[in-house]
Formats: sequence, structure tokens, C-alpha cells
Amino acid sequence: MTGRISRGVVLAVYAVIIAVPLLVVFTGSFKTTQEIFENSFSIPTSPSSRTIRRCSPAATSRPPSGTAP
Amino acid sequence: MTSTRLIVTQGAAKKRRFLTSGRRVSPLLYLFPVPALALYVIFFVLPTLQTFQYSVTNWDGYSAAFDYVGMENFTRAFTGDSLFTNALANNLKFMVVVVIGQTAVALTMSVLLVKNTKTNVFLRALYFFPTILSSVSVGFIWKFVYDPNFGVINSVLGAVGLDGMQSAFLGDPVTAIYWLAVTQIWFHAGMMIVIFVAGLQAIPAELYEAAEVDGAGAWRRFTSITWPLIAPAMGIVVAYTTIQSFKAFDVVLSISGNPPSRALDILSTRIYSTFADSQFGYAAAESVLFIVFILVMTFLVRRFLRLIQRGES
Repeated sequence: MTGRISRGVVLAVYAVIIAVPLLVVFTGSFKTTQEIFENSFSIPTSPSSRTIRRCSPAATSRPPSGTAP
Repeated sequence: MTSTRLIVTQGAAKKRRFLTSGRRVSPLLYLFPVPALALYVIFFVLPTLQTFQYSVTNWDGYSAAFDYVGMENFTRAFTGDSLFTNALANNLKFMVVVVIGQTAVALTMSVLLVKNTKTNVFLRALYFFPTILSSVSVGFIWKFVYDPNFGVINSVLGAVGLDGMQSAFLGDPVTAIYWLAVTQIWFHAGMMIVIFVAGLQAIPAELYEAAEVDGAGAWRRFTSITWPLIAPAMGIVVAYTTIQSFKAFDVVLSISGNPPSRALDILSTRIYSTFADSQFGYAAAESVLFIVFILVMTFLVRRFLRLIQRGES
């Protein structure tokens, strides 16, 4: 019984270690840069697909703002 | 029906005789690999050999003239270049932590996940997930996780009141390389879990049943059955991890920027910086040393592994 519990604990801890950075990226993709710096670990307050849309072919055909010409 | 088959076989026999004429292979056959071989030699073998040539010159990468300087580049690497010896020391620390840590993590997880239940398959997929990410995004994710001010680890530690455990992570010159090793393990352990699970599933289940009947506990079953029989997979994993820990380049560059901080500089990034500094000859010498280090380290690690496995079983 203790074996099964410790097995579960080990697997769960490793799953958290793997999942947390992935979740940070995933939630971060719906945040504005400002929101990321203010509160990196929270669920986005006003989820926006702005950054996702910026990756779309229509948006990348023109140079993204902030890069040198 | 029979006649067509006869014709077909006759045609095949004739064709075979045309190229191989009985036992002897027609000399014409030797012409066929020539184009592929020529491309391989011109674009792969010659440049590789040229690295050895350039390693004994002081070529800067673009001028027409250069001098042969003999072993000067190699002596400079070991005696006159603290950046290179620093990178070598960092790389060795990195390698030891990654090889031991990654193998231990992957072996533990794969032993726990060897049965094909639904949860296990899901967890294996989750653990494998980092491997399919691009290494540049892995670097940036972890730069963010480690950030001293708004990084995930420090904010969680601050939120639960463990402010004393907060650390500068990559900013701490002594421990930075170990935090980089954690990232490398996070990135590549999933691949090793897959190799280990395949190796573990190849072990016949009867052995475990017999051991259980004989009253062997879980630990005894691991040391007497799993450990000796996982040796082939272990050899692959350890050799692969050793090579990977030398070739970690993209993760380092994206986590630390270019050029990497002194505490995070490993051999591959050092070679890159030397090339970028237009010291082509010296960088070629470093690359030759890099190959030698990988060969020697892989040999030593595998030797060490064989000693451990012989001692235990």
C-alpha cells in the first residue's frame, strides 16, 4: 500500500515539474507582454488571441512591429 | 498463364545475367554509387578532414594567406585560454549531473510506467512532451521559470513564505550550470523513458512471476532481474546522454543569450564564439578537441557503467 502511494506521489511530482513550464507557455500565449511581466503565474484575466493572430500568415507578411527594417 | 510466368522469369534471369553475369558482379555496377559518393565526399568528408588541416593553422576565416603553426592552437587551448578551460570544466560538471540525473529519472519513471494501462500511457505522453518542443522555446521557457524577479519558482516560493529558498538561479555563478543541467534533463528525459520502457517491456514477464513465487520483494526483483537485463538499453541511454550533454548548444544559447555568461559557457558555445570571433584556425582546433572529448568521455562512461553492472549482478 505504501508502495502504491509513493509511486503515485513520484509520478505526480514529476508530472507537475513537466506540466508547469508548459502551462506557463500556454497561458502566456494568451497574455499581453505587460500581463506576463506583472503576473506570470496567473490565468490570463482578459484572454486575447492577439499574439496568436500575430503568428498568422496575414500578419507575418508585413514585418512585425519592433523589429529593425 | 504458365507461359507468361516463364517469359517473366526468363526476362528476370536475363536481366540478372546482364548485371551480375553468373557469380561475378559486372564492373558497371560499381559506377552506380559514384554520384552519391562524390557528393558525400565533397560536401562531408573533405570539409571534416579540412577541420583537421585548419586546426594547425592561424587562419582567420576569410584571408587568402595563412600560416601553419603546428600544435600552437592546442597548447593555447589548455594553457593560454582561461575561457576554454572554464568551458571544459563547466561541460564536465554539466555532463556528470546530466548523465547521472537523466538516467536515474528516466529509469525510475519507466519502471513505474512499464505496464500499458491508460494512465501510464497518458503519463508517458506527458513526460515525452518536452522532447517535441523546439529547443529555443525550451531555453526561453526556462529562462522565464528561473527569472529571479518574476520567475515561476521564486514567485511560488515567495507566495508560500519560503523566501529564504529563493535563489538567483542562472545568475549565481557557482550553481548556474547545475540549473542548466535541470533544464537539459527536463528536455530530454522523456526520450530516455521511451527507450527504457521499450527495454523493460522486452524482459519476459515469466521471470518476474517466478521471482514473485520465490518470495522476492519489489527491490529484489529490480536488482536481480530488471537491472542486469536492462543493460543494453542502459548502454544506449548513457552513451546518447553523454553525447547530448556535449552537444547542448541551442538550449544554452537561448537560455543565456549570445555570448553565454561565463558560468554557462560549455564547449559547443565556446567553439561558436571562437568562430564568430574570426579565429577559424583556433576554433577548428577546439572542434578537434571537442570530438576527442566526446569519444573519450563516452568510452569512459560506458566503461564505468559496465563496472557498476558487473559489480551489482
